[in-house]
Formats: sequence, C-alpha cells, structure tokens
Amino acid sequence: MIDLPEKNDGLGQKYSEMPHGASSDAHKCEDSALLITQALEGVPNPQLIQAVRSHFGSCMQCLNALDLEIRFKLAMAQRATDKAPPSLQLRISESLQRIDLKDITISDL
Amino acid sequence: MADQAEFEPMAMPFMDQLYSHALRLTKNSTDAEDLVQETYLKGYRAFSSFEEGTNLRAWLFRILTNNFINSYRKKQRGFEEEDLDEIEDMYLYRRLGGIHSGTLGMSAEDELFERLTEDEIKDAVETLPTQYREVVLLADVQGFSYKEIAEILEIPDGTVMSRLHRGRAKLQKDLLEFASKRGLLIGSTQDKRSRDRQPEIVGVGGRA
Repeated sequence: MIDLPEKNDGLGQKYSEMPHGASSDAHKCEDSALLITQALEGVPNPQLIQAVRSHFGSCMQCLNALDLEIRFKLAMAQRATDKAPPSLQLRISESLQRIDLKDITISDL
Repeated sequence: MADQAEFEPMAMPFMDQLYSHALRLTKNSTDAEDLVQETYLKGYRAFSSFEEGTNLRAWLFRILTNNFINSYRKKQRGFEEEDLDEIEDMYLYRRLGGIHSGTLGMSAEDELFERLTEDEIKDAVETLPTQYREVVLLADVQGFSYKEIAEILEIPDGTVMSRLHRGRAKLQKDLLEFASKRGLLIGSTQDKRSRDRQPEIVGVGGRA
C-alpha cells in the first residue's frame, strides 16, 4: 500500500476501501476505467495518455491497468488484421470499368 | 461534390482495411471479397453525394456496414441480437496486473500477447456477438473514434461506449481462457476457486 500524501488524510479511509488502494488527490481509482477508455479512444493519443498517466499520480495499479489496455489495443490492431488477396483489387477495378462502359449511352459513342 | 473519376485512386488505398473488417464480420473469405466489391461499386455509384473534405474512410465503412446488415447479417443462420453479461471493469488488469515473469526481458502481459497466436486472437474476435464485434473491430483494429463509430453504425454514442466496454471485456476474458487452456497461465480463469487469485504466466522452459 502506498502512503497517502498528508493533504489526502481526510480521504484516506475512502481510498483504502478502493480495490486499487492509494491514489493522488486528483484521482479516484473508481474513475480509472472511464479515463482509460477515453485515453484509448480511436487511435491512441500519446498526449492524452500522458495526461491520464499524470492524473493517476501515485497509483501504480491504475498506471499498470492503463499500460495493459494499451498493449491489448496494440495487439488487436497488429494481429487481428488481414491483407486483401491481390486478385481483389483487379476484380474491383474491372467491375468499376464495366460500370463506366454501361453508363455510356449510344449518343456518347 | 466529388468527381467520380477520382473515386478509384482515392478509395483503393482502404481496400486492405475494408477486407480485413469484412473478413472478421462474415468469417468467410469469399463473402468478405464479395462484400468489399459491393462496397466499392455502391461507393462509386454514390460518390457524387460524398462531400469532399469529409472522412472517405468512414464513409466507405458505413457503406460496407449497411451492405453487411442488409445482405449478410440477416441471412446468417440463427442470427439474433445477443446481449453480453456485464464484466467487471479492468478485467484484464484484475486477472494479470502486476505480474512480471522476467523471462525474455518482457513483461508478463507482453508475453501473453506474444504467445497467443494470430488465429487465437482472430477466433476470439469472431466469437463475439455481431453487434459487439462490429464496435470492437472499428475501435480497436480500425482506430475509429466513438463519434465516427456512432455515425458508421448509425447508433447513439452511449450505445457505442457500452458495446465497446462489454465487447472488449468479453474478448479479454476469452483470450485469457485461450491462454489458460494452452497452459500459458497457471490458475484457470474458469476455476471458481482461483477466481480471485491472479494467474501467473508460464515462462520459457516452464518457468513462471
């Protein structure tokens, strides 16, 4: 358990009941899941992640939880993807050209 | 108004992303190719309605999603909207947090993701109910924001967040179960007696 800073004495009891233990005055561990979700919205934003890291202050467990979620998101982005077969591009290009031909009227020729 | 002649050079760079998404949705390469082709054909026909300067990638994903819903999802045998149970916040951390095996100079979490095969990750994604899978894929694989996902799927922002939260938690739970079945974790996540015990990741040569 991390010692709470003096200025947090009044909240000590509250924090000690939380699953992640101690935290900084600006941060409540119960809000961490939401902050982590926001930090990882879309393409992870390094500045926002840094801001959330700072916000978590002294709570190592919340920081670890953030890092774990970043790793999960990276693993998904890198390993749950596939490349299209090369033949697909040709097939699509050909079908787009066929639309062009269909759209040409007699008066266009 | 966009010039139709510009469609192909502007839209083709997104083909791999669209195919990857289509493959995870349809779970079948032939259907995925057809779905992507239909997306490009419909996109081409409707390109005059695309507003230049807006997000072409999101526009194409919206066409693909609508195609998928209309042509594939309703045909899928036994398809029905399925709800997921609530899973505790930060599930992955609560099961893995703070454990460092020290093997290979990597943290335990890195090792876990390294040791799960691509197929295992893809299989876990594909077992998610469709409405959760769509959101998780758009957010975590394609990197769209909540607002973009809400527009692509035509659902409220709050629904996106709720589906993402539950879908991600279910996926993490399933991945830990894959890892447990393969013996990568000591302490099964399915074993009620060890539910509150943090599992350890088995290192190289069986070291924990």
